[in-house]
Amino acid sequence: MRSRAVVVTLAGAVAGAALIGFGSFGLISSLAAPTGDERLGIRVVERLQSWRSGGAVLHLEGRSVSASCRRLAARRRLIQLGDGERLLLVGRRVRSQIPEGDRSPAGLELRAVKAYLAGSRSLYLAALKARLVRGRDVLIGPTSVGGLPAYRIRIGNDRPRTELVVAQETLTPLEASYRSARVSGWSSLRPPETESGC
Amino acid sequence: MAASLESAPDLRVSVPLRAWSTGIRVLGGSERASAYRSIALWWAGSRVLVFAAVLAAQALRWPRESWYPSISEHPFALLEAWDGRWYRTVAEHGYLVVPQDQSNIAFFPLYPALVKALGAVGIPHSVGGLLLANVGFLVGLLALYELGRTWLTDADAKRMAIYAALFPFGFVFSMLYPEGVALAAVALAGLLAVRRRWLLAGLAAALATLARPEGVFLALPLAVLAARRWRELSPNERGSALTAVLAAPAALGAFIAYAWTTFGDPLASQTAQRAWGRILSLDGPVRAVEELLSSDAFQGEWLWRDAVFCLVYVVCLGLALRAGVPRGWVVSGALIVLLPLFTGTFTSVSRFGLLALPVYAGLAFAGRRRWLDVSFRLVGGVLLVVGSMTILYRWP
Repeated sequence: MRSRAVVVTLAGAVAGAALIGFGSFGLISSLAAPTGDERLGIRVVERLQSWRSGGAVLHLEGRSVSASCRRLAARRRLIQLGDGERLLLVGRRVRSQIPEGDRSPAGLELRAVKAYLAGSRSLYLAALKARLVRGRDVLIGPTSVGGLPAYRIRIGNDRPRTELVVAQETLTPLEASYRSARVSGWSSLRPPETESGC
Repeated sequence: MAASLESAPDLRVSVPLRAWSTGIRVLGGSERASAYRSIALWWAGSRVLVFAAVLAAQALRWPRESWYPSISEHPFALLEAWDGRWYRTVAEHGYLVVPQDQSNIAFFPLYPALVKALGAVGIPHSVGGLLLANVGFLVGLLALYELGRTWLTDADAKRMAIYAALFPFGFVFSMLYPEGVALAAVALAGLLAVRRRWLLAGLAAALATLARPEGVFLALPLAVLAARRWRELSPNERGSALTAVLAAPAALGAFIAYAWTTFGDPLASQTAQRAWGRILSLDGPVRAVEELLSSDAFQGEWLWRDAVFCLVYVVCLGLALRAGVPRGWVVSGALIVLLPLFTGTFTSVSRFGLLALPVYAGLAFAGRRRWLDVSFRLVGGVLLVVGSMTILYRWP
């Protein structure tokens, strides 16, 4: 008789706690769940974390120039353009190897755009994460690159407008684009030929 | 010698306790009504200090202009800084786990869910968040007073609430942070358990846990209380008491289950903490001390602030024990203050300790000496202003 009372007490307690647990779950679920858009963004983040770029072909200001990207150290990347210009990327900061380079706002922006279009993974990651954390839309829509189905992904702020095109199947970045009031351009990204891609 | 309620007779029929449950009608003209008025005044006064201080810092744009938006554009911006932004993203967009980076899943769900609910009736998230925090704090102070009466004398309980209102780190209770709501839930859970309203106590404990992870430590004092009263309880009450004890872990389990079902990682909240440098390990306290001793001049000052508060909390917990505060509560407070050190840093211990209720009891016990009472109030008020004005220097 007494053991039955103990069992009933325990069962009641567990049932009560379970109810509170379910209620808590319901309360948490009242918060917005991740959208398909955000889940895609997260998958692209995961892909970018393992992806390396070997450089790109930049289409900027009416001309095309190739760029290679090489990892120097944990946070340092060297970007070498086909016209001889060399840019050093330290974290998310871009430095020109030419001290007397153009220091005007337009010149500084153009330098940053070159580094961005040249295929720097760290810049893409930072921009995409920032957009996701702020809850902004990521997916623009489907597209194709050379017949390969792809997604157009918005990264970073709304201005300047920065986009990545990733393969639908593998989420591998294929193209990057940049558009602001002063500068517009895009690039075709290529995989690294060695382990030192960036 | 202070009386401990854990060994006291059934309090369900005592006049003061009935007064709480039957509402304001009973309070009119009583000693308690006077205490409530006094506590409400100290709450209002301390909040005026906080709001005035943050407005002054914003108006002066001290020490760096670029830190502050203009008052006309965004008044009280300081109170929405740091984690406040993260709580807002949870309220606005829900949880999202960004792999290997800082993610809002590190922030517990009750407060942003309430902010979102207020938003649904047209109250902007900033306004709703500040309203919740500050009103929650007032409720918390009154509940703290009531709980304090079950631990110490009425005068001590009143000082507990007043010291909490003036506590130097108490500016956090006015920020877009869940501490105000959590304080109310923790104190109410304790109070309702003492009054043998076990199911309501369990509900409050669950809400406390959903507001802040420290809430889960409520299971300890509730378990001790239930164990001590076990023989007096009817079979039904025993079931309810056990439910109350299990409620906080159940709520934590619900959050874990949500993370698991939504993101595939039951420990997503813990994992996200790593991006802030918090890594739970046995050698955490050693790493915390090493970090403290090796920190640079700027970083070090703020870390030392947290370390000093940690020490103050420990001393206050010792005083609370001496004053007769139930041991379950003191141990729970010690866990709140000391367990974060196992993540390898003193950072934010000052804020975590705000929910260790026996700390205020320890202060109130010391404040029986008149000169200490006056000192606590004066120093508390001054440091509250200093803390409020320097919010942007270092996250609380």
